[in-house]
This record gives sequence, structure tokens and C-alpha cells, in this order.
Amino acid sequence: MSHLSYRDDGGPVSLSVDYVVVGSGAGGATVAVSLARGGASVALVEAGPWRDPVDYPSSMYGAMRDMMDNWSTTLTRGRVFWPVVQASLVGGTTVINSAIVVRTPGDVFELWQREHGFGGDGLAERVWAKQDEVERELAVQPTGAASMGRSNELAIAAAARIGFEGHVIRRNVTDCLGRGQCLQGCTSERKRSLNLNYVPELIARGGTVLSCAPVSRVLFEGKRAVGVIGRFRAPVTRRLGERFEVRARKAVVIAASATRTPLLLMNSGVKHPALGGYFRAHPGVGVIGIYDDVVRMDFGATQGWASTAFRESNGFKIETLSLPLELVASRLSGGGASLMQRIESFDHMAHWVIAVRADAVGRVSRSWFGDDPVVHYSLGRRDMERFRDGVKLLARMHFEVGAKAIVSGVYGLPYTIGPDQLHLLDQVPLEPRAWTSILSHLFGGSVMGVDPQRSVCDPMGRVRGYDGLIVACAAALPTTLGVNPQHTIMALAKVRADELLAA
Amino acid sequence: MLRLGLWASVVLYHLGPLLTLYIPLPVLLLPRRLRERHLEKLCGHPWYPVRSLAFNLKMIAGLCWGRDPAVRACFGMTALPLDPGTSRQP
Repeated sequence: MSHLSYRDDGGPVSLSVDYVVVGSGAGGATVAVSLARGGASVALVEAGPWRDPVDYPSSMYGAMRDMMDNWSTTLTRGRVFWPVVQASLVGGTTVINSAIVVRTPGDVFELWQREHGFGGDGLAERVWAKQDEVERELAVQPTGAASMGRSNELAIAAAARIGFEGHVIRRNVTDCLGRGQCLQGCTSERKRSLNLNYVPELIARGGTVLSCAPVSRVLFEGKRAVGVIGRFRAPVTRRLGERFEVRARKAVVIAASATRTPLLLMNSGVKHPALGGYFRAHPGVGVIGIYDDVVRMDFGATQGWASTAFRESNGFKIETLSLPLELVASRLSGGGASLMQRIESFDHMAHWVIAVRADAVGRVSRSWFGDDPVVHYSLGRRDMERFRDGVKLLARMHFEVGAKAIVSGVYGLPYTIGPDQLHLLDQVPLEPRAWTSILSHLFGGSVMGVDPQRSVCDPMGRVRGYDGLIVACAAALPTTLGVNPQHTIMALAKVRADELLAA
Repeated sequence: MLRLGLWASVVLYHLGPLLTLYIPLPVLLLPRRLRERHLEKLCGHPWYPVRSLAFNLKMIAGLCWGRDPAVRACFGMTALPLDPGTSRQP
């Protein structure tokens, strides 16, 4: 056995392994390969298809169709409808993200210790050691000067002029060509997404990968998780195919994301008062600067520079984020001829964002219609003030390096704001409906902790009240991090694998 | 959800002139100048759900528009290769 995918004939597929891992993103692929390296037989079950770089789309349309979970149409419910961006393919979000690698800040472990009763220095040391491993395995390195691109260079200059610290982003990318196509998957094969390394290694070590295989529920014998079942699903037509059943002799590991993991546990009959709760995120909002000189943000690393200087004091981080033409078109306000006139400046635009370490706590629940998660999430006043402060800083950065105007995209403000109108951002509405944002980094839904009432999982990721059922993805993280979570998720997945192998 | 959003956006766009211009005619029957005004008002409508649906429509249209080789040529960009839509088979 190596790779099984959609089939609509030949009868049901049945497998028996030591561990079955649901989800093949940063958590799932990492825990699966780590278990296989320890000598265990492992099946990795992924709802989406397995796409190699030759299969990657080149347009954003194709990326949303072929790579995003349900075309990225999961929207928050609350005061606003903001998209919740997640991938659905082998390798998960590591295929479509900007490959940002940030070590877990020490204060996160202190926070977990203080508020959730686990973490502290012991866990920090283990996680950081695993992050050393990941960085070696994925050849993590800073973005090179040759692939930086003008947008990133401008941001570096802006931070220097204002006088705050920033850094060139370290990424799991080797010899980046600066094609600005991280979000569509790197067809140049420079990004070391996990579909290109950990997942093939799993197969080389005797593991099995099931793609196009959404799990419908976890199987139990009494209180012990013994496997998963589902039906293959064709990637384009979504037509259902043969059934599959994967039995796990030792444990079932769920790593299906902060929205899908709690949903799968709910669908499997797992009962816990905190299941689906404590959902958190880093909502992001961007500001476009319009320059006299040509910027061409479609050349250069999609995200090459960041600053965490305001992470603790103001609760947000700053990053560059180049957008393709088609996304800029929808980001600019207006329609028809006026929109066409505005988009003519595309070559002169640079787009930078803040991601807010939001206090808001949401909830994931089941939908009455279909099998998609429902994400209830609304920002409070404090978080909106962070949006305002962040946007003001982004605008100032743009003006420091010569932007003639900025586009905030906030409803109620003029389309462009010039350097002498910066004060308008002081009166920016704090009503979330005035803003266009997305939720990219997601946390919680099945969180870890020592309090049996507040945490679905114990500090080792084991689902309370059940045997052999582990959560090893962002769903288990009890708080936001204030930095990109990929590295933390991967390191914790390695820690989980060690614990399982030692059990 | 996707289909619902798309349908709602399209219906809003076509029947929305009543809401934006107070003209009880579908968009197809409006002259270009009024169509543009309708779209502009829809995108900046004070009701958030209306604005969101307009954004949705613009997003979908933008995804198709931005991959058109003629549009990309206008911006000095090379045409994108076709999205293969393929995946690894066992």
C-alpha cells in the first residue's frame, strides 16, 4: 500500500495500521512521518486531493477551486462575514501559505502555564528542540535579497525610518525565484511544503496515504478510538465514491484544523462542554500604498519582511503581503469604470498587513446544511482599536517611504488618503462591518489544558474521556500566539509523536 | 454556501436598481451609465449585507477577469498557463 485516492468501484477499502492520522497539514503530516520514523505503521487520511507542483494552478481562481477548503467560502457568523482561509489538499495549508517560520515566543508557554496549567519551561525546551529539527529538515533560511522585491524593500526602509525593529522573514523556501506565487502553490518547487517531503517520506517508510478521503467519523469500541470511516470524494465533482475504513491498533490522531477537528469530534459523538469553544484567530487587515515609482508587487517573495515590535505593546504584527491582480481588483472599492481606473495603478501598489492577536473568542459548531463547519466569531472594541492603530502605522510606513496615497479599504473613509490626511484614520469607525478582513491563523476548538471543564484535551493532546484519541493540530492550541503558528504546530506534533511512541 | 452566496449576489445585482437607483428595472434594461452608477452604489451601500454580496460578486468576477490573458497583457504581465486541475493518482 502507498497511495489510495478516489475510486467509485472495486469495493470498500479496508486497512489496519498502528496509527491513523486525519489531516495532512502542518500537524498531521509531521506527526505521521514522526511516528513512521519511530517504526510504526501509519495511515494518513486527507480530505483533499494530492497535488504535485505540476498540478498546481497558476491563477487565484484555480487556487481557490483546487486548493482551498470549499473554495474558501467558510465565513464567520456574527456581526461580519469574514472568510476563514484554509487549504484542503495533501500538505494542507503548507502548500498555499507563505512558508513563514517563526519560533514559538517564550511568553506563550508562560501564558499557557498561567492560564491553562501546562507549558512552562519544560514544554518550551522540548518545542524549541523540535523546531531546531524542523528547521534542519526543511532547510529554513531568511528570504534572500535577490528575491526580496520592491514591496519588501520599501517596508524594510519604512521601519528603519520610523525606528522600529523588523526582520527578513525566515521561510522553508530554498533559492526563491520571487515569482510572488506562494498563495497558489510554488510551481518552481522552491517552497518545501509538506506534500513534497514529509508525506513522500511517510510512503517510503511503508506508510499509506489516502487522498480525496474525508473522514465522516471516528470509530469507537466502548470509549476507545479504534479507527475512522468515510467515503472517497471526487475533487471536482464532489461525487461520493467507495467507502473506506482504517482501523488503528494504537491510536487515532486528529489533525484536521481548528475548524474541522472539533467538527469531526462532534460528528463522532464526542461529548464535552468545551468542544468547539475557545476558537481564536489572528484576523488580518491590509493597507495599500500607491507610489509614483513602479513597485510591481507581483515580483518578489509574497511575504518577505515582518515586524513583531508591536506584538506585546499593541497586540499586532506587521507583514508585507503581495496580492495578485485579481485579488487587488476585489479589494479596491467601487465598480465599473471607476474600479478600472483605480486598478490601473496596480504596478505602483504595495500591500502590507497587520495580523491582530485578537482577544475575541469564538465557537465552531455544526451546520444544519451540509458538512461544513460554522464559525461564530466577532471582534470586540479592544480588537477594533488594534485594527485602527495598526492601519495608522501601516499608513505612516507607506508615507515615510514616499507613497503619494494609501487605500485603507475602510467603509466611510475616502477611497484614498494622502499624507496630509493621516488624521482621518483617528476617526476610523470601530464597527467591524466597516472593515474587510480575513481570518488566516486559527486556533482552538478542542483545546488542551488541565481544567477538565474548560479543555477538551489534556496537556498531552488526549481527548478527555476517551482512550487512543489525540488532537495534534492548531485545534489544541489554547491561545493565540501573536506569530505565525505553522512552526509551533509542527513542533508540537513532533512532541505528540514522541509521547505516542513512548507510551 | 458558495452557491447560495453566488445566487444571492447575482440576483441582487440584476434586480438591485430598485434598491440603488429607485428604478424598477433589471440591470439588463439599463443604459451603461446607469448600470455603472448602480454597481458603484451597490459596492458602497450603507447596508452591510448588500455591500457584502456586492463584494462577493466582485471577488468572483475579479478572479475570472484577472486570469484573462488580454487583461494581463494590459498590465504588462505574461499570460498564465491553464490551471491543470489534475492531481496525483495512485
